[in-house]
Amino acid sequence: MTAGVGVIGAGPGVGALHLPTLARLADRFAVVHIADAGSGRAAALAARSGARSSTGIDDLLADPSVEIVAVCSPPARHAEQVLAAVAAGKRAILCEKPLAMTHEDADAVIDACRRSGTALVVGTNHHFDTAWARAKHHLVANGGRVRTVSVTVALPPNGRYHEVVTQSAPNRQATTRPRPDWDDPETAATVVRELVLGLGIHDLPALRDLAPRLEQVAYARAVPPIGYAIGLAAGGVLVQLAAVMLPGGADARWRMTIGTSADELEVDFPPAFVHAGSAAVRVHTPGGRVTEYPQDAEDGYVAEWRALAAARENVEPVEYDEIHADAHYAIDIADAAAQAIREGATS
Amino acid sequence: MSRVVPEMSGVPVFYAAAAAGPAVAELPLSARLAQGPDGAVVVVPGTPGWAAAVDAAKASGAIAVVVTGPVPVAPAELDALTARAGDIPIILDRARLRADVAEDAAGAGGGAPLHTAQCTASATAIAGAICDAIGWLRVLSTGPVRLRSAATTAHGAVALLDAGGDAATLTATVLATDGGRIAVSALGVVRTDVAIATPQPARVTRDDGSGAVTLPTRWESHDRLALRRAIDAVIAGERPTDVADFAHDARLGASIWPSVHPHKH
Repeated sequence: MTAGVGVIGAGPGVGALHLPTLARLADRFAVVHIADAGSGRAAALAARSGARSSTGIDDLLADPSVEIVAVCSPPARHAEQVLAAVAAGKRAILCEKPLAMTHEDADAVIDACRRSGTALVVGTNHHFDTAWARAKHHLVANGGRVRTVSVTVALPPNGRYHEVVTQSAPNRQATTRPRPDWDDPETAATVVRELVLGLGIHDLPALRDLAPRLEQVAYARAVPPIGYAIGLAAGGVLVQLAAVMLPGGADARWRMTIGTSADELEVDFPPAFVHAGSAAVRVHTPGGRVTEYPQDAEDGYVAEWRALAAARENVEPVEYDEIHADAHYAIDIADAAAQAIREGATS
Repeated sequence: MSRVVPEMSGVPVFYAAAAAGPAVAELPLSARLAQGPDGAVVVVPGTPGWAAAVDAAKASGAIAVVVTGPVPVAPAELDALTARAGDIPIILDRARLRADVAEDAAGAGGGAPLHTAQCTASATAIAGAICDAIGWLRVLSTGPVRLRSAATTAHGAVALLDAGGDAATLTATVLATDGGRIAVSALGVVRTDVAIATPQPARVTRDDGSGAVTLPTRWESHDRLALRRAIDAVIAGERPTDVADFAHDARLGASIWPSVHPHKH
């Protein structure tokens, strides 16, 4: 028995990510409705899936065949659309990251979902990657204490990955984002905040597993052409977050390095959009031995949808408190980084 | 490759505080063991106080000095050493920052908007690892490195730097045991990765999007390389910048992780 999925949003995150992912889970889910905000892209995507399409969210939320809502709109709309879905009686939601851009919105969303018993999953695919569970198990088993965490992200444009999971009409190619005016501290602070909540968010739930209490952001700066470098202390662990979006060249690097008193653990996540199995986990011991754990066939994108199915079917509980804490943690880091930039990025 | 000189005219080499290493034996045409420092390339250990050993070698008539495995020294010591470094070649044998590997990788990251360095080492070795990691940021970015901000605990450090005008980060982790490694990356359209876990050879990889290329392994031992560079500098009348480079790296390293670390008790 498949569950009907209504998708809010019709950008690359839908065409290149969720539709191909759901096609891999056709025994569990069927896309029945896609809504855009007026771009007209929903109709073309829906036609491929045999789904209905509409503009705005009202028709989709009124559609009785929509049992699950996937909120894949721009981040600023996520919270209000989750609330609207709950109010419309939908009881299973996959919300793309971030869940909310403000503390108030995060509180409201979790409160509404908890009170209504709505199954909720936030699409932090790295956290659902089975390799992350393996990495955590190693960290417990090795007996070492986590001292540092570095997340390094260097990304070429997404187009090369879109091309291997979907096809785009010639007039639907992604547009180039204009470069921000990094000399303006307010612009830099605003863009870095958005980057933390839109890009860095991939790893923040995993980071919270290791360093749950944010103490301070020691420094933050924007990195041209688009990126950031942020240093922070959390629960006695020092954290380095560095990201840069490049105009081309080398393949994507998305690496979390965890320095412990006993060894160093690297988690290499596959590029976004592709389905190449789980992340790679590699351990460097002080003596020079390198151990690589085997990768699983399934990736974090598929895993997050399976998690939603399990929550919806009451196989697994919905982790409202964890989702709530993850949202606040990310917003705290984003706000503190922005403030550090405004204040001149001093420690 | 090594400069060939007549067999009997090998440059004399004197080991000031240790038994002769294999480097002289591996340079049979260029080097020969000497009984004293006068007129010789003098090899001194890079243990604490090595700057004074360099001065002593120079006072004894050394024509060049090789410092094996120099540990970070106090900034005042670095100032004095730098000021006196110009009269004879002084070669620093840094196993984790070999001159040949650095030359291979030099400038590969120039123009990369972001450089990252990570190092792990025991509590007693972490200052040296940070010094070498900063040296690699200097090499890859082709520019001086400047500290913008840092945070430390008793067990590690994170720092934000400017490297050759671009952003750079450094993460250092204290291990409970000896060993460790350094990993440095220039993250640009062409990505360069340097991975060092001595005694294994350094690994330098470049990826421009059409594929990753691993540069040839440098198999020469680091002490042979250092001695050969000293002999070549003597013959050519050159003054390598090893001391100035080390002073740059050590000074910056000390500002992140002082030799007398505030978290130590």
